[in-house]
Amino acid sequence: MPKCRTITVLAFRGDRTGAFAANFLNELDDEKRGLGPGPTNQDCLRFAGHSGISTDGAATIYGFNPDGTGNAVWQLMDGLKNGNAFPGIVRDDTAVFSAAPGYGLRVWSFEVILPDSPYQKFKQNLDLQRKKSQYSYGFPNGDGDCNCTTWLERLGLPLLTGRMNEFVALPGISAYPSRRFGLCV
Amino acid sequence: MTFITMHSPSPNILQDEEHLGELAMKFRGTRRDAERRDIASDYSNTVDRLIQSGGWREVPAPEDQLPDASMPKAFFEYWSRQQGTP
Repeated sequence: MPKCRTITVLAFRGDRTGAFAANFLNELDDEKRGLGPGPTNQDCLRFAGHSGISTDGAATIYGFNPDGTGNAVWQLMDGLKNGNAFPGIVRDDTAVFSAAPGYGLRVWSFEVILPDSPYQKFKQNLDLQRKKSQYSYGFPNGDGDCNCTTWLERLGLPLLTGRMNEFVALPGISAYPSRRFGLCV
Repeated sequence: MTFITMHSPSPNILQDEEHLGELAMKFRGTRRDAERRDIASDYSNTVDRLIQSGGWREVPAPEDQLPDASMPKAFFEYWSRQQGTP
């Protein structure tokens, strides 16, 4: 009998109510007008929400992010909203997930249990992507290959239980009858 | 201890918030200017409805927003007024 291996999937919704959210928008605007440094990477993830994975029981959590090197934060955000793709980068985002409950954000998690062989393939893929991801980052239906959530699927991680009731109840099936992942015409 | 953000808007607000996300996806799905203008107009009307509801408490997720140049001014004015709200 092959040994079971566990991958933990974690996610939190963004902090977009109250003063933090309004301040975040102001910081972006100030940066755009040359009046401030713009929000930090951690604040961007706190505002947007994030998802990630762990192979050591959530001691280390990796997430997929856009590499905004050479862009101001507001330019990166604006480009993503426009549908542009940016290079994707896998980061150790443990600190962001650890900080989330302190901001009143619930971190959701579930375990994906795999036999050793597919787990090793997954781990190998993750290790390669940590060095350099071949995927570009983009917002849904834009030119990027995936975002932090759909990257999990690119890793070959099964996210659905397989229950038909769960699958057909996904709100996106009717709300988004067509969705594009990557640049094509 | 886990804290949960309380956010229980009315069904109409939820519907309009979802609509913003649908429009943002449509916007990114086309590069045609005329189509994008129509989508931005629908987005602006939805933002107006949300503001007038008096119960809009959550800034849309970044992926549910349009680029700054296509966002209605009312959006930024509204959320700027919320600064300082606990």
